[in-house]
Amino acid sequence: MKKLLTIIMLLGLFVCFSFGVAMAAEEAKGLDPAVKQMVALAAGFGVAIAAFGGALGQAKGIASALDGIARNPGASGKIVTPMIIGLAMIESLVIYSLVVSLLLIFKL
Amino acid sequence: MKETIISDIERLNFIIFIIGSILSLVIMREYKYFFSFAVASAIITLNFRFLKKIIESGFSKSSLNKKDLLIKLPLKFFLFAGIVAVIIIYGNIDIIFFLIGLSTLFISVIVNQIMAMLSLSIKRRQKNGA
Repeated sequence: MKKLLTIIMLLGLFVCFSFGVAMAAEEAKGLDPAVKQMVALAAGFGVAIAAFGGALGQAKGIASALDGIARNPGASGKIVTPMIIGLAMIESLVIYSLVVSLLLIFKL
Repeated sequence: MKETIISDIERLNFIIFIIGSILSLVIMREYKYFFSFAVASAIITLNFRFLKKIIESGFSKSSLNKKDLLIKLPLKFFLFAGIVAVIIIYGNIDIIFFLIGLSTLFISVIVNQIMAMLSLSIKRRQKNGA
């Protein structure tokens, strides 16, 4: 049942994606070169800062979790659950900044 | 407080995916908004599911499975980052609904904690009443 659900969601993703491709991207507007430079800088720095912060957060979370598991292997089940949630939340924040940077580069 | 179970959050993710998609279609009455929310929500739900599978398979076994953690985890991240990039570059999406869809995990964690708090207060009331 869960496998079927995953396959259906993947299929839905690709159907939605193909719909988006069919609509085609809009043409880029003619921006001032100075503005383009600033946009490129903002996009680059945005992703870089987000990746830096996300990597630090994930590293701290995983290190603490592994430390806890090493001290008390019996509690690994209770430690891994919040760790997975934390990792997923940090990762989604990094994806946010990726989205914004891609928007700045390709849609402005 | 009630212990958070990952399958609860996964279920909530899926419920928010369905309810949000229907709401975006009903409120905005345009497929663009529906697709934006649905794609982003599906990406986050699948990302969470794969992350859970990879980490659980890596940690639950007695010997740490290096293949899962070193190969599958970065591969999964690159796959989802690539999907997001391709959708944004070539797709016709509404960015607000796309970002709301990406917040599915946050919403489900908040909802899960509120439900846990409510169940705790109901238990306390029953205890005091008895």
